[in-house]
Amino acid sequence: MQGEVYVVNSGKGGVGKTTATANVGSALSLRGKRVVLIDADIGLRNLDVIMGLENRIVYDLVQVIEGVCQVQQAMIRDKLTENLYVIPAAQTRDKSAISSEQVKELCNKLREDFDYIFIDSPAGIEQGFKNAMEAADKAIVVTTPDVAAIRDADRVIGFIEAAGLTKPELIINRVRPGMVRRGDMMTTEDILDLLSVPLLGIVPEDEHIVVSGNRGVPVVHDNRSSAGEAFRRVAARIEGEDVPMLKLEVSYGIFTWIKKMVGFKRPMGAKA
Amino acid sequence: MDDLKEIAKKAPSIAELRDKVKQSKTLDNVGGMVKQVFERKEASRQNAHSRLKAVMLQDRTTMTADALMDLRNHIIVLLANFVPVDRRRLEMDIKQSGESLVLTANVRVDLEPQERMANGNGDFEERDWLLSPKRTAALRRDMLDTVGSYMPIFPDSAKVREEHFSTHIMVYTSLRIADGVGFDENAQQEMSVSFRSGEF
Repeated sequence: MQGEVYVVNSGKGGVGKTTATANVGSALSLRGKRVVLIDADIGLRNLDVIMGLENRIVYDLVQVIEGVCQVQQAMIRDKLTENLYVIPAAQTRDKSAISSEQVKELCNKLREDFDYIFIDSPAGIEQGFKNAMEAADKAIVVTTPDVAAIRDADRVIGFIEAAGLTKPELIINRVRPGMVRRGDMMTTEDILDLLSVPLLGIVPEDEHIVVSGNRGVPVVHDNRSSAGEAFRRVAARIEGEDVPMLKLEVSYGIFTWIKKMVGFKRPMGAKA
Repeated sequence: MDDLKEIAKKAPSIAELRDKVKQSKTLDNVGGMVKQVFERKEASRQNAHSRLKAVMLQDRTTMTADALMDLRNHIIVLLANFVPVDRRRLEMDIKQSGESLVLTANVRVDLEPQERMANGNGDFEERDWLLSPKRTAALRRDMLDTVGSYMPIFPDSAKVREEHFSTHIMVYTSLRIADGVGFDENAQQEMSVSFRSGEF
């Protein structure tokens, strides 16, 4: 087995990079793939809480790299999906604690046992980002349809291409179809025109993401969530399937209006 | 004193003033609501797109907005020597391609039907090209000279291509920037031409 190493970055923080890593990884493991997610955001770890694994941490990435423990000892097995593991970041160290060579070496070791290794890169273009990027074969850039996130994504894409990785693929997160329709949010075409990278997925703004984060259950486990469906499609595309983009529609029906008026929300199923 | 009393008598009471303010506020609210319903706000999407295009062009080259505007104007002048250019129709962009940046300057040329020398099928033949091989070579050379005075470029990287459509002709030009990220910052300071935002 020779797994592929993906780095997930964004440039700007808070665009949903960790959420995307957790969900794409979970979706791939639901498809029967062996996946490991590495939280490379040292000092600001979050992947563990998004996955609901924060109480199971014994060792972290820095301890693996420093030889304090074996990599298998730091890997936390996901509670909902088989074949999915998380290596948490250290919370009490800083990004200079590891080098790109060390991350590369670790990923090369993991390639032998896993189909996919996802590195959740820290935001920004500092050393942490470079460590994550240099260890990867492919890159996924996550952005939201706002000017600051797109500008930062462009900077990151420039660095990734200059580093010799294959052209990064783009996930546009938190798209609001109503605003796009009104002309108050950039369209997918606008964003692709600006960034000139292939599109991997469009994820709509979805309240289920917040609920799933609260519960520590990635949204791909909820079949009623549109964001979950979008992430499942991203996983299928990574697997080489030709899947259409999720059609984002604004519902104007009378029931939508009534539901809005009475504040009705669909309950979120946390079952795997 | 009597005058003052008279004025005070005529003046509206505080309660009356309150009513008036209330009334005007209500009218304002109603007016605002009517305005909101009927007034069509300009969509912000296009604004964001054009602003980003300009700002990302600067980010990619580390050139100032002024320098980019200056370069764009020079490219327009240069292209105008070879093809009829509508300055609003020039699209200039700088994008990462592999390890280097590529500058593209594409222009759309609209010609009147009688000016377009299409054959019977509406297709264009080689003799109908705007740019002969000789002129293409000259344009390539001038592109290298012009852009080369702004940024380091790969020698012989200039490409020129024209494509004919039923309604218009597109002239595509591109060249590779040798080191876009490391563009000499001192050189930027010397360039100062006024920049109109949203031009790109």
